[in-house]
Amino acid sequence: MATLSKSITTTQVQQLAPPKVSSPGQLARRKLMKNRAAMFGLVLLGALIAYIVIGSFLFTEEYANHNDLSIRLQPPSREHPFGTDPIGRDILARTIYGGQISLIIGVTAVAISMLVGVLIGAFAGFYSGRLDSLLMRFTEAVLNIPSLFLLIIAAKYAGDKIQNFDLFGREFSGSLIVIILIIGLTSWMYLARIVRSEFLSLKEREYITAARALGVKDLQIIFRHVLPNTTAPIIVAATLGIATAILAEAYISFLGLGVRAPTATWGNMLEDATRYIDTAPQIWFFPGLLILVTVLAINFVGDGLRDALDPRTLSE
Amino acid sequence: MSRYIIRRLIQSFFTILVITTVIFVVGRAAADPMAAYTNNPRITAEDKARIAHNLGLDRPLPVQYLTWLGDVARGDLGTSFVTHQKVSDMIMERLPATLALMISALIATVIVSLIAGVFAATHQYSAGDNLITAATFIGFSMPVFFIGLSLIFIFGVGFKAWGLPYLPTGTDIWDQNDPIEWARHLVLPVLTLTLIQAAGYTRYLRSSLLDVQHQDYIRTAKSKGLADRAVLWKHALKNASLPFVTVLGLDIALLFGGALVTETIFSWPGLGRLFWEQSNAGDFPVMMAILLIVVTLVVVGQIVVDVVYTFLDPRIKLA
Repeated sequence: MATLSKSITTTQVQQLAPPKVSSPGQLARRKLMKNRAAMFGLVLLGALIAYIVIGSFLFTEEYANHNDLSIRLQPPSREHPFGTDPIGRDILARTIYGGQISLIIGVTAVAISMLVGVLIGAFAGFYSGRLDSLLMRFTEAVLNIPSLFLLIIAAKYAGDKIQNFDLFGREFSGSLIVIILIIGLTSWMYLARIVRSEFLSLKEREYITAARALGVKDLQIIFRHVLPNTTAPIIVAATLGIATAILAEAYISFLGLGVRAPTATWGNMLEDATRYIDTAPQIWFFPGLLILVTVLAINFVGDGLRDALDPRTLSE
Repeated sequence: MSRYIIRRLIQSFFTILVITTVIFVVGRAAADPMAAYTNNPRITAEDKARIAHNLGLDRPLPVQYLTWLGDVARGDLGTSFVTHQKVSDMIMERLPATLALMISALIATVIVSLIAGVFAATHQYSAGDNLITAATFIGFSMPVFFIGLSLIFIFGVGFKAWGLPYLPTGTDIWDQNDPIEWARHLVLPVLTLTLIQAAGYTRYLRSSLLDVQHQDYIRTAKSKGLADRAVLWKHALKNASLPFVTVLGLDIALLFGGALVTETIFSWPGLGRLFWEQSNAGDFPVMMAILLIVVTLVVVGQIVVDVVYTFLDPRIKLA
């Protein structure tokens, strides 16, 4: 008797225990962990970040910017594992400091394009009507200009308008700010369209009607109630945007309109590449390869995030 | 349909108007045609003022823009600030090279991505599919200059050093009337563009083919006894090519403006390099003309794409 009642109570306890429910965030994380390409991308990114962080402890920036014409265009050797560039700087050290700047450009340019894209998309989608058609006409117009042409014109226009500056004891070229701004300001259009379409459907939901009925102000509805529900597509677009921004920096620098000396970037290390294709392949091979690997890793992660955050495939 | 097209054309006219205004204002400040004279001590301030006056640069910007717009409306793209040739002549001179590169790259891209995309979709999760997917990711992430320079290094420099038949890298002087020379010089830039573009096309085609596979009309086609081959090439592919056509429409326009970086690497005498060279010289009329052509093609290309949609997918109605 006693054992029976005991067993009944345990069964009851087991039944009463809440069933395991995963939050959408947990589901997404689990899906991402299972995606081999995305995990490979994350590992690659981790390795690249380790490379540019640990590397900066091994070589000083002064060494990376130090030129010595007597050792110009040397092929890879023990002293200079990646060789030297046309004015005798160590390419290995420059890929480390250049990588830091290229990644910073990628992230900050995307931050700017997110700010612009989210604001334009949110207001156009939320207020629809005349404001919407005005903002979207403008977005489409900018979208129709080939981005490289736009970048060239913007880079020529803004070129040397900002002075060099010091930050954390390092000197940076003022053109760094210009490049970040022009990449950010020429890449917000896709994000604006994504955010707008999300807003168009979200603002019709009942909880928004409820918020309005309670007298919540428009701005608060936009930023506290609607925007948090659009984070998934924004995260995906921003991740992939970093890859595009790094490529944009590389293209504009390859053409000689990028960040100026003394600041190294993976892009501006390629500036003279066409002149030394055969005689000094090291000057374009290493930065080019690093750009490719970085962009590839980010694309893997971004693609994995898109799959993981897609609500249609969220249930397991 | 024709009403739809007319409405879209009117809309696109205003889009182009907005774009040219923006580009004119920013571009005029970006490419200063007087910059070439700033450091020349032999040119006095009066000379400079006279040159600026002759080029019409001393007038207010809105007047300059409206003058330019009026000339364009009459079919006059203006005269180069630098070479003093007619802009239309300069563009016509570069047109054959641009068209040759564009058309061969597009044909190669479509063939490669059709084969790869259809194979990947029909052999989903096979080793071949995984290989193709990996390759498309790499192609998608590949900077144009990296693949271009690598191809030059292998097939131009390397093959020459190893005593193999090698390809020209674009730095040589060649006879532009010899079709064989044209073909030889086209190989590497076309290969560069194809490898990069085919990556995106293959991805779109694979995923849209996989989407279409499970639709009702495909099951109907299969159940009425059609051969798999016919279902794939006649029914599935036609529908799955919508995203393919979208990118194609955009790329034709963009390639027309020249694959700027590819043309620079291979010293290809096309429109992209013309834009690049003249923008460095502050040759504003040439820059505006090329941008106007490209933007017009992009905008019109989108309308063409929408019309093509209705042929590929009869469920789409334009209104």
